Amino acid sequence: MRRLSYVFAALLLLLLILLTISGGRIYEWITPDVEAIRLNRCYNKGDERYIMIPKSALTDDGSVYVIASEQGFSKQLYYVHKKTLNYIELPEADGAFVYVTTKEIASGSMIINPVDSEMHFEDGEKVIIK
Amino acid sequence: MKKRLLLLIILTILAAAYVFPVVLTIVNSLRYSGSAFTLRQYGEFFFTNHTAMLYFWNSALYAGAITAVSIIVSFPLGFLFAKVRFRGRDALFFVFVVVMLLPFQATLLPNYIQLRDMKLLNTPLALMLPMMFTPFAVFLYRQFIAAIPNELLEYATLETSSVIKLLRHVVMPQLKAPISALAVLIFCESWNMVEQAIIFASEAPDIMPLSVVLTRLPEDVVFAGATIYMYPVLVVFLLFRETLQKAMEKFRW
Amino acid sequence: MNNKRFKLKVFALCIPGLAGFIMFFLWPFGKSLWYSFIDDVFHKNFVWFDNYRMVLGNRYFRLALRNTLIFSFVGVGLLLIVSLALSMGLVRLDRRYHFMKSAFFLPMLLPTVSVIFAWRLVFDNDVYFAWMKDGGPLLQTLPIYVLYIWKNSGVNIILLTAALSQLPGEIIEAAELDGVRGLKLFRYVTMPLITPVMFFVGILSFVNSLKIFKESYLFYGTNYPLDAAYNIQYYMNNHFLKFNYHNLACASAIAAIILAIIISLIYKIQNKFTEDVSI
Repeated sequence: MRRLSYVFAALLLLLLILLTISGGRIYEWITPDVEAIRLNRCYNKGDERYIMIPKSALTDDGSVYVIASEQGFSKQLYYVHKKTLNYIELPEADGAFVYVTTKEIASGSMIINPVDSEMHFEDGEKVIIK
Repeated sequence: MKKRLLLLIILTILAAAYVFPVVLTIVNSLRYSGSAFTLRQYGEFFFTNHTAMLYFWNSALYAGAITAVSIIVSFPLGFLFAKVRFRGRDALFFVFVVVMLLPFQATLLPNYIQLRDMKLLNTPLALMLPMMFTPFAVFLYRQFIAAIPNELLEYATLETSSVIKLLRHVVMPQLKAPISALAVLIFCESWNMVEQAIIFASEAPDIMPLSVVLTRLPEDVVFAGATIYMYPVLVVFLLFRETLQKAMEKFRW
Repeated sequence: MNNKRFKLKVFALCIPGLAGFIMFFLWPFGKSLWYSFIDDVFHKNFVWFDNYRMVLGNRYFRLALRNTLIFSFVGVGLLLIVSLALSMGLVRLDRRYHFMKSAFFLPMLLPTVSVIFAWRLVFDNDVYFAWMKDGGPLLQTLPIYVLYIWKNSGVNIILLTAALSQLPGEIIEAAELDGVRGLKLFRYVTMPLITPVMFFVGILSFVNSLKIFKESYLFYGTNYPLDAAYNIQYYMNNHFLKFNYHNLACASAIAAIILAIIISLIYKIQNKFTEDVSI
């Protein structure tokens, strides 16, 4: 019984060692990679200021995945958040961009681009930016 | 008979109450934002906050080194105070006892000054050295060695004149249990080190023990971290429970 | 055995331990004592007891000292009662239940950081918040008392149960035959027999009451807790952080002197009580 307890304790210790060594790598392994862009392009039409979003960044139902970042304990963490947009299409862009008022999304936000049709994220899920 | 049963029930409830905080910590480490029983928190602790474990090994280093060194270094001193007569022995021992009983804050400044003068501040040694020479170990050794009958030692000195042999082959076998008990106590106390780290290593966050870092973890992994940090102590406790208890019962002041 | 050569050899082995003790405790303690008598690191003028007068006159020092003493006395009293009650209950149990003693001993070994979160949860309820607002100082610092008793009962219980189970059974049986039972039995027979142990347990509890700072600091999470919880260790810690080394040195010296007096008093009283001086 005592021998067994020693073995068990040693195994747990070994587990901790392994987790310490590989913790970071495992995080990168289990967290999906995405490409992201910053929304820096603006377009002024009349009184309104529009942000230009590439159409490739829209999902099928017309939303984008916004990325918020935060300084975590070990590293910079990135969270995704699905946001439905009211966008308009303008002829100037000939189909490559949609236009969103700055009320919907702030200039300089990061979004995932491009969005594959298989991408399904939950709110608050973490990602790594390639 | 009924009185006995009632007593047993009451004591069991109280014993459970004493263990309750441990249970609560473990239970909470298995929850994550509402859902009970998930390992998610541990996942967050090991993967998302993977640098936290590095501090765990800092703690392990300190606790291990402090325990090992203090056990070895205090042994002859305990023997000295217990069995060797010299002038001023009791006065010196009294000093040891007073220093041992002082709360850390009273020896804080002296330790800090010394470490600063030796340019050891913000190094791992700063966290290890003061505790390695704690008079507590000397005190316990002395009490247990004093219980060894003098005739045994007299007889042994007839056989050999080497002090080291005497200590190793005569005194130490008698101290198997007390040494284990002492090791457990010193280990747990150094594992618990918090104030020393904050003060002696205030500008070297990398060498902090996990005990200090734990409070700075994000809220949702705190219980997993606490459980992991508790685990060596629990293991040591389960393995050395009876040894510790027996040694304490034999303790004579 | 006690010839010169032997003694010298032992002494040689003790050099590392003694050197460490002197280097990290005695010598710097002397230096800090010197600090308490001068005014400034740069000027090094001897100001005798000016620092002490300043410290003793400081409102916060007096508050801290008062809180510490109150906590020590009340805490030790409560702890002794709880430990004794639990011990007396435990010795009456069947032998196979004696392993339960370990449950009481576990809190002493646990790292404070680990359990403090659970304890914060326990006190995270409205009842305690009400107490914090307008309970007296005792209710306000209740968590600290609870933590103190929880953490330190174990060692007391082990010592007391050992002593209680070694009581000479004949005396108790004789007393019971004479019709002495219950509370009287306890007061006139049991208590005097365990007085030496109680003394030691009392000192131990007192010493541990000074070490409660860690729990208090981690529980309140700040350098400046409630007024009622502001102990002398907080005072020392804060002055250290503010680089007021002189106040800290004075406070340390005062603490050491008070402790030395108390310990030597207890040694003397204890020597009067116990016949075989095993010291």
